[in-house]
Amino acid sequence: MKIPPVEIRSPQSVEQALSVLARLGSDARILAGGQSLLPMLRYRVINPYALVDISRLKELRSLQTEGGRLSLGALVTHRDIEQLPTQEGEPSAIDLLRRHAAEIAFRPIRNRGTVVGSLLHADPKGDWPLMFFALAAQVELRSLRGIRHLSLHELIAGPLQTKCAVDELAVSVTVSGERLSPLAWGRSKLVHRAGEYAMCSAIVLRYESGWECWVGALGDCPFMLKTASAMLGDAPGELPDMETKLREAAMQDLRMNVPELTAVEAYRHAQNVMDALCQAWPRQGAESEIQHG
Amino acid sequence: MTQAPGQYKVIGTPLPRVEDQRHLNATARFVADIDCPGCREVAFLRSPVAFGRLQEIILPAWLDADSVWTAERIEPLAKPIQAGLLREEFNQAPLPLLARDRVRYVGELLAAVTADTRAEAEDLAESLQPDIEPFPPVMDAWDELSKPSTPLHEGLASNVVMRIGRTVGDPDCFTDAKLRTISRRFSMGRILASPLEGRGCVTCFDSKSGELVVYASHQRPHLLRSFLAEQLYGISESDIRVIVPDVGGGFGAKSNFYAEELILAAMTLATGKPHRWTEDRYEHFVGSNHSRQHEHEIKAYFDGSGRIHAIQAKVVVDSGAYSSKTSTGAIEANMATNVMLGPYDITNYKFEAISVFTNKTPVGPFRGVGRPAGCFAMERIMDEVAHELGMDPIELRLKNIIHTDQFPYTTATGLYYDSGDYGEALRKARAYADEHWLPLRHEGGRYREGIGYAIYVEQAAHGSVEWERRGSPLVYGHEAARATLSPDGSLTLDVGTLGHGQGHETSLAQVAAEITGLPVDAIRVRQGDTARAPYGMGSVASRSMVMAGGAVAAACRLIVDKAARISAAVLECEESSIKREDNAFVAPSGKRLDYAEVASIALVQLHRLPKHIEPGMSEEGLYRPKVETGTFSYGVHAVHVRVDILTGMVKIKGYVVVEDCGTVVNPLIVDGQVRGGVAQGIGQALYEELRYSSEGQPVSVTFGEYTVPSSMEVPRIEIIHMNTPSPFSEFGMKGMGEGGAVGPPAAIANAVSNALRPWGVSVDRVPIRPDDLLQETMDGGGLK
Repeated sequence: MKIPPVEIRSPQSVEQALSVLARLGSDARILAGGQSLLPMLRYRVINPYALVDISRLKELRSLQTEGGRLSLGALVTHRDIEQLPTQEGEPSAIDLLRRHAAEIAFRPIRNRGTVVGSLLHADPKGDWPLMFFALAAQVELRSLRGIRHLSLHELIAGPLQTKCAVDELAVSVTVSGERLSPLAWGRSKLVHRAGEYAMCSAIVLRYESGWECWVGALGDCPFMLKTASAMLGDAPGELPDMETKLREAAMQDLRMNVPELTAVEAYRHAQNVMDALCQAWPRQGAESEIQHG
Repeated sequence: MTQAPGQYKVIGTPLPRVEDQRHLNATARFVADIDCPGCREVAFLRSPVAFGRLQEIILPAWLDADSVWTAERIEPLAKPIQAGLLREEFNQAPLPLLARDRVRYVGELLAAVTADTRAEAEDLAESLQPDIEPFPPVMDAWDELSKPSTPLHEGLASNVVMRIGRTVGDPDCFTDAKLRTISRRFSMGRILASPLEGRGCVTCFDSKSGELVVYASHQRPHLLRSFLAEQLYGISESDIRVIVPDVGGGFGAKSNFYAEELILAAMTLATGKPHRWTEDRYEHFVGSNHSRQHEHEIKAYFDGSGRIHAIQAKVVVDSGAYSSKTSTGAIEANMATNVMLGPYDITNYKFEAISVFTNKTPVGPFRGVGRPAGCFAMERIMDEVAHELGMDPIELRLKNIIHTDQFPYTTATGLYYDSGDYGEALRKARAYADEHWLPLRHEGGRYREGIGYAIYVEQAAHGSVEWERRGSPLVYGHEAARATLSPDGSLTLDVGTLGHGQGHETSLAQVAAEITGLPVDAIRVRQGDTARAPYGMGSVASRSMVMAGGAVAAACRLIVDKAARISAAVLECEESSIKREDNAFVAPSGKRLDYAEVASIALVQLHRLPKHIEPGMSEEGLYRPKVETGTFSYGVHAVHVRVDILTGMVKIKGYVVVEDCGTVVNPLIVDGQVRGGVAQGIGQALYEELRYSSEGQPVSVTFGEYTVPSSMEVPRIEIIHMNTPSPFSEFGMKGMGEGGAVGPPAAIANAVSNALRPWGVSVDRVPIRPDDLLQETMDGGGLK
């Protein structure tokens, strides 16, 4: 399990990186945090001729909140998000991002692994695709040919597959100010063992336009539970009263999107959505803690 | 009978391990750290196919054929490994070093490739193309018995490794219509040891001494040397030296004689060049011994009072493709049926133990060997009987337990239990659970709590009687230790056991300090070098403290006796009047000699040594227990779980172990052994399982797919000690290295079953899978 022979290219600027990518095409892979790439190299799942190490490109470390938007450069790590300094009046989803980041794998992985790298890895079990699908983020791809902005729907083509061309470098991911400020949010991630990939993962967001229940960790890529979300939109009331109906709707949505789900898997994913919803639901008094496990 | 307080000065003291310093400072030296100039690094090509005909291995034209070793090149240098039991029921098949004609599991060795670095060797290995015609593999041991396939091994009539069975006691019991019965089928998944450090070896030729030197990460250095000499052509055992440096855990997985060490030794003998192989994690998953994978059918015959009159058990184990040396493929099933009855006074027993060849990695020993599965079936059925009768599970156990006045007690299978108070251990566990865990909480209908118990008896430190009874071709039952006193008064102990995390360098020094009066820091324990230590059996079967401890005590007594003799002669008094005070020998006159002075007189001041006393201060002590059936520790595990019925997830909220291993030498080490074992048992109960596709492809070959519990999943483990010395061992010590891993599957399965009783959920397999719990709760009407 040693990595196969591979050349390392260390461009000094994004421009240089783009020209290296343009020259090498499919012979190159981009190395950012390496937390997914290196195991794949060790298991020889991939065997590129060269790695383009972008870790020295300081310009990709930027983490900006401008005009309410949030933009994360390609080298922003999970840990950077986990430790985003609290700011007064910050958009409500910033804390959602913090909590989401804090539950990714273990600290050494969070220290190195990058958010954009995780998106481009496009593992259906990954944590970030779910988040950025839910927040309707855009990824900026650059190449010598120009700049493209793709939504996650446009970017992710399937498990471990993206529409990022061989000469393109994903330089950032951006969330609009509007999407970054939901009225309420909830999230729930269920893991069998600490630090593992999620068994179930759900994010629930409430905007003026209505509720959105998103699920990940299953199927080809994250998706929204349409019927369940719609049901929440036109039936405000006490959550316990609608729990059974909601759960059924969620299970129906789940099985429609992922027909191979077993009954217990669908039930557990639906339950996990309910747990996320509980967090987001407006209620009186103290938060009831969800005790997983 | 309990250990008297203050009976010993050093034994029983919680000394921190002397080994810890080098590990904490990262200065320990493992096989991969051995400096070896010019070493050829080895990578193996392993079979990607579970079962098939190996037509040929195609080498690319550019590859230097010298760097590739296939069966044709190795066969003239070394013999295939043969492992068996001296029992007519045993079906023996050879384990080829490198496959020829047939491959029988994914991971089987096909060729060794050498290069300057491991990475280059892996690149070369990847360039080889094994041409294998695949056959349908044998993947299910239970089905194999009803629908036999073509035998995997030539010359064998079936895929049964061994089938034994016997009815003990009153056969009418099994047809007694007055008795009630409960039958269950239980399964235990396939797991493996996963030590931090994998296996590995360096083989080199010492031209000065003429020795083949083999560094290996192994639990039994002397046996490794004997086996190498037996297998290699043209070298005698005295020309082989095995050195075991630091070992990062073994748990049994490093006790067998594998092909890799032998292949490297053959390559070095043939070329004169040093070679190194370091197992990586993928290789550990497919190439190191697997363990467990049991299917049990068990039936209890009982009356309305809760007395169990008889037990009937059928145990089928998936042994994998070959019998490993020395464990054989029969190790798990034979042990499980042998110890099934545990602490209970049940004299009517009918059992069948069947081990089956399949196209998987061969099984071997792993902490507990058969005992976790035997305990799982027995303790699960005890809970089912208790539930059926509406009895408290502890009361049911107390009703059937062996009482203190019955020791020594001979079990239905012939085990000779030495001592203990099993009932008291059960009561202590219940008292702890009642005090700390009651009342159980069932919050909001979502979280259900349960308590589960398991009790076991841990046979350890078996002597020759037990090994002979099992049909082991090697019948061992002693240890030797050499104690050498230097002129400065420091003592060196050379032992043939091999601590690989158990702290022998500390605990054996404590035994020596107890006998000699020397301070522990004046005593150095050395192990793992066949050129230094007397022939020993290494560390397996929880034997080291009893056996090596006994040998160290014997050697130290010889040193003390000789020192007293020399002191009497030099101080001119009767030997019987010499008194030892700490590290000095005192005459009635008040004159004294300490160890340094005595050793100097015996070694470099010979003019002061009377001629009737032999010079020298090095003594070999031998230990062979008078009763050779082993010591029997025991323990009760109690666990408090909470199940989320809406997700099927289990959380362990509390865990307590009541254990009795007789006289404790070092309580810190004993506690560490218990806790480490429980952690592995929790892995088996809730997380770990080696899974295969129906085509025989292993699908859990990383720690991402094979999840071992982390510190987040293992709770604080409370330990309550009892100390009933063994009447049969030195100081009354009992082996105890494995018990921690024996109890958890049974205790946790009982706790989860108890939590989910309202929906009729009965946990019949480990690892316990959230999907199964959710499905059964759903089926039982427990979900909204």
